[in-house]
Amino acid sequence: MAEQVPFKEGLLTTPLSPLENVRLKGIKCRACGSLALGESKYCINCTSKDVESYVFSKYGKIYSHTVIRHAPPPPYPQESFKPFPVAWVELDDGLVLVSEITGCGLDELDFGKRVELDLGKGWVDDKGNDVIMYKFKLIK
Amino acid sequence: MANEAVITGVGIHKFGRFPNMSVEELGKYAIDMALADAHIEFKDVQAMFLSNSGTIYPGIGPKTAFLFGRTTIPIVNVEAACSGGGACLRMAQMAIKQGEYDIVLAVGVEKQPKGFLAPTISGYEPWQALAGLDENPMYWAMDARLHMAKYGTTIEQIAMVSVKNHKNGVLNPNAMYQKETPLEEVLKSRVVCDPLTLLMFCAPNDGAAAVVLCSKKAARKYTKKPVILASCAHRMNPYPEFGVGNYFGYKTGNKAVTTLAAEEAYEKAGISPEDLSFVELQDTDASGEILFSEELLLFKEGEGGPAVSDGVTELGGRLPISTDGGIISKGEPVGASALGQIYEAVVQLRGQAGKRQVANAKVGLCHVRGALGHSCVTILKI
Repeated sequence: MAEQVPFKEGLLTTPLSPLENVRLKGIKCRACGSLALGESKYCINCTSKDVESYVFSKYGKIYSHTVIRHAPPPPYPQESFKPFPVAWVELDDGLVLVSEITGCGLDELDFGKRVELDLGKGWVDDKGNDVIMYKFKLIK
Repeated sequence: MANEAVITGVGIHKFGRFPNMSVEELGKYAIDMALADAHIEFKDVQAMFLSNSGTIYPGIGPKTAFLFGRTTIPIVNVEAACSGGGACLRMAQMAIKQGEYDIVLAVGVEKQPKGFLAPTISGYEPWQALAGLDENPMYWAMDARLHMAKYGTTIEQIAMVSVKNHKNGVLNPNAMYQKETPLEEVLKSRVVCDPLTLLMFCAPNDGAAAVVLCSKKAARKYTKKPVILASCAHRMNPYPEFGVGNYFGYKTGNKAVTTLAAEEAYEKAGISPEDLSFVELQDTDASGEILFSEELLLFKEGEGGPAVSDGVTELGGRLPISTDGGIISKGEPVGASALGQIYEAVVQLRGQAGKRQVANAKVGLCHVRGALGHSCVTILKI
């Protein structure tokens, strides 16, 4: 059975199973209050070392959005491309991250609409492992 | 001002697609033109900085210089994404200001394949590319949407930027596209990332530009009327960078990098936005021109759209923007585009721009903004 690996180290809580318990993680700066995705010993905003680990909310809302109507450049698979919606998602904690949006049509996104973390298999890596990638699902 | 840097020569190789020329040959063409314009030969150059992104390799600067024969002067490659040419000019300016050199060459060269930039050029990580989150226009489209929602900027105003820049491009023999695009054609061209359409974007391509920078004292030997490099600022965007090459952020309230670089450039030059005769700015996409015109403090927040629809930014308007057609018309040879702007600014300030000449041009501003947060703002005057 294929092993499950994260899309990037240090951005998801572990273990990766069961998937419904996994969250995005990062840091919160005690000095300036900024949030950042991923483990770091420094605040990306003010460079303070006074940072704490932080697990992000799985809920958020659309900050801005668009639809990718032309296949992204390789290595993105060109033949299987279908237009898909993407957004800057603002999590309830305040972290903003870019994400594909699932569970909706191409014209359903709007500012402020609620979304929920949707983790799943994104692609297969060169060792045959399933790569776990984040997306967000529109809450209807 | 101690060791003020002035421009005594500029050269450009038309921006476009030139499969039969190497990137070094493109550079030589622009350098030859700049040297002739400055009334010097390559052996007079004391240091050289060369900007490139898409075809960069460790020897690209020396290999370009060696087309003039072997030289022992210091040659340094510069990479700063779409701001590379600006960063390169900044290095050349510092070399003059520091006092050790009198004649320094800043060169930008590029060869880019047709289509979207390769993910690595914009600083994307492999997983971003595999997830399809590496298409630069998606970030500009989301910025445009926010601006439209916040200020009522319309898609027509965004399209008018493209109409204007294509119109200016018709007057520029160095532009890749020299064809007008009516408003309807821009609006009805294929949607790339909603709400932006194909004719609102620049296209990566090939090209080169070169600038001869002199100390003010040394310049007297070659010209009576140099263009003064009043200031050149290069900054990186603070957190957050909601854009190309990035994937997360937090609303810190920090100023945008374009504003930081502009404030530094205005202050160092002792120039305010009202003093400007014309502006060259990073029109990677048409909405970007509106956003950057506000971040450069040319217009108040939200007034960049109306400035376009009221004709303020067209040739003959109060503040013409991208008189050479911008990179929407010229195409964007990433490492060279910023020095292409300097070429246009110098031509305008000398009164040599022909049909696209800005009347009584005295002060010009050039702005570039690149992946991962680079921005350069340069102010030139006569």
